[in-house]
Amino acid sequence: MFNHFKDLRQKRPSTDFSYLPQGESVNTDYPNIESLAKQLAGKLLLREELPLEANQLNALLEKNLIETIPSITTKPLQCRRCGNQDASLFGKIPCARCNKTHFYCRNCIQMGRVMECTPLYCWTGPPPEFPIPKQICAWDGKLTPAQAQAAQRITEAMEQSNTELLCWAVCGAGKTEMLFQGITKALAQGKHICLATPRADVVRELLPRLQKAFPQTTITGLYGGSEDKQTPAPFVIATTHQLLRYARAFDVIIIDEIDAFPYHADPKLSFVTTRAAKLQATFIYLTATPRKDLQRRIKSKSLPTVFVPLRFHGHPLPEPQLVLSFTLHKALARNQLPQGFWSWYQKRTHPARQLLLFIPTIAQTTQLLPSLKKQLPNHTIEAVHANDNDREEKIQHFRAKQITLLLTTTILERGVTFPSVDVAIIDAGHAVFDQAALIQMAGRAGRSPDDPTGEVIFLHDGKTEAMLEAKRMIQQMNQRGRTID
Amino acid sequence: MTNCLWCNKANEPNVTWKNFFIPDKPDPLCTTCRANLQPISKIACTSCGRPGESVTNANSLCRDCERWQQQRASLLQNRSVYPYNETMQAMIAQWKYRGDYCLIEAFQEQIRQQFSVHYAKLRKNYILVPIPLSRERLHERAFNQAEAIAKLLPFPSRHLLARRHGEKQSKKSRKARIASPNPFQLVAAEQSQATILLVDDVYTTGATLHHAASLLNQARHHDIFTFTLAR
Repeated sequence: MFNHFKDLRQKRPSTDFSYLPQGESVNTDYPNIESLAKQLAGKLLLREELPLEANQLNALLEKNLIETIPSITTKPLQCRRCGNQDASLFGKIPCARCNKTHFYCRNCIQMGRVMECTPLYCWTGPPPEFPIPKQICAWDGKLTPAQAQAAQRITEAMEQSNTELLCWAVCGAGKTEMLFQGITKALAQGKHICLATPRADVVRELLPRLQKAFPQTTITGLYGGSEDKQTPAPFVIATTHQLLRYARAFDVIIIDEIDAFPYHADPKLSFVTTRAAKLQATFIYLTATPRKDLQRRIKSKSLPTVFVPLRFHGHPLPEPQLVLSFTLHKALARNQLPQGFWSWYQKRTHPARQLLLFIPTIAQTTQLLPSLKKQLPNHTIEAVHANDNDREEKIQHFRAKQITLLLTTTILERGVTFPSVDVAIIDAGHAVFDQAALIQMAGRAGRSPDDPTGEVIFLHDGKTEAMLEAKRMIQQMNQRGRTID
Repeated sequence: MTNCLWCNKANEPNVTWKNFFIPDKPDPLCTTCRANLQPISKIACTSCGRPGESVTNANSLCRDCERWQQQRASLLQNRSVYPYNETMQAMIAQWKYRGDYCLIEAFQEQIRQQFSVHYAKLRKNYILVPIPLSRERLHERAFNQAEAIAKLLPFPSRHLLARRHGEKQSKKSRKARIASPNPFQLVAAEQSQATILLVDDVYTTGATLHHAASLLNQARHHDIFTFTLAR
């Protein structure tokens, strides 16, 4: 039954979770049982992560309120916390605790070391109960018809059990707002919800927005380095890695940007999301750019899908223009932008718009910077990439229009909104720009209702399949959008 | 093909005529990571083995060591394998605090090599004394990093010292470290007159090693050298 992710995996870790405790005990004669249930239920923890003294733990084990699970199995070799089965990602340690040399998992060691001689701990006491507020949702905005239709489908899916739904919404469709109706209903039924996203930035951005929309509900935001690790909550927003600590915890799991790194790259992460879900859980996948495997499932109708082809402001997506430049690589080798770029630059319809330039590699962003500064003295130009310490600051400045031209790698490909930009993708044929990346980058243009159009060019010296597919998909979505109107 | 122990990217050795017929010993690190992890080549201070251009004062000691000398230090000299730079800090943090024991494999060859450069010809016999952890800390880490280093060296280890449980050295300020009371006590006596070589992971202020050395000095061991992974 848990083969939602079958197609997403290259090598599939065993998803037989029968070793997890099956039911809950009815034993309730223990002090603080309610607060313990809130803290521990649905989690799979290391000994160090239990907020308990040795004698407390023993008492809980004796009363069957906590169960132990062997942490690393040897046949087959697998870490039961992260699902790692890659023998090269296990280390051997001469352990001073048990005086034996045994395995430990190197794959998830950043989240605390899983050792073969130490079990994982799982709560088997009564489930936690969170108070349900009378007024759950405080958001009073209005959905567009396309959004409303998707919101309805999402709500229905959350009400059923053991279902999945893909929400294919274009960049800038207003995905978060579409979830509110469903989340409200699920919270009203006392369900536990998890919104999983691949990136910590998104957790940080979503947390205040959701807290504002659900002011009476405790919401925990989890990412590497987040302060909040313990607050028990019926609603968790987390990076996928943080789900490593959960087992059979959520009735609803919403996976944001299912196509994004690392869901499609790391099969262990789908192991983790599958385990974090309760047996009857609903999965909602959000994406603007489903990958081949999902598209196949949509076509064969094995994955229920709802489309949101229009942006929240009702305008179509800007279509990319493919610009051929034979001198592209010659120019880049001289740390210059080619003629093709400049002729487009000269005849832009809105020269006042800010410019977002996507460059394939980090090295090139910094190399192009000096010559561009010389050629465009009227612009304030910066370059930003993943290893940049001032990354946040520069993005803020670009948003505030203190920077007018930004050179960037794919780190700004998704999840960021600038109101009014033109987008140029330099060397769009480069291998780092796959179809999904191209669509996402093109989706940075025309996001504001005040300036809903924007120009996008793919600068290339030879069309690639990814470019054509990206353009075709954008056109398809616009086509679909017109039929809704 | 195996992956690099540190960056986990594919670790493919460059094929040259030199290793075409007789393959090199496989390196657990890729060439990029290995390039970031170079042993200390120039020693600034002959006493503590600090890396850098050599100091040019009268006794060729750095200021830290001059201060130790004034306190009648019992430690003769320290030598370390790697400079304690950013890469090394990250690797030691992963190795020691995260407990990624395997990383010792990345250091192994160069530990042996640097030991033979600095100590193999200096004395005939050594007794290795790895700096101990407190019982609590040992349970937490499940291994003693100093012992892991000592195991790679061709001399026997003896546990002459025990350590009281206290705050981690790395959490204290420089001043607090130097002023802190001796956390060690002698738990065994060594009869032979072999030279003592204290082994630890990092020499920062030298406080830990000087504390250990002064105790051993009281137990009539006069020649005390130290060997650490990073300086």
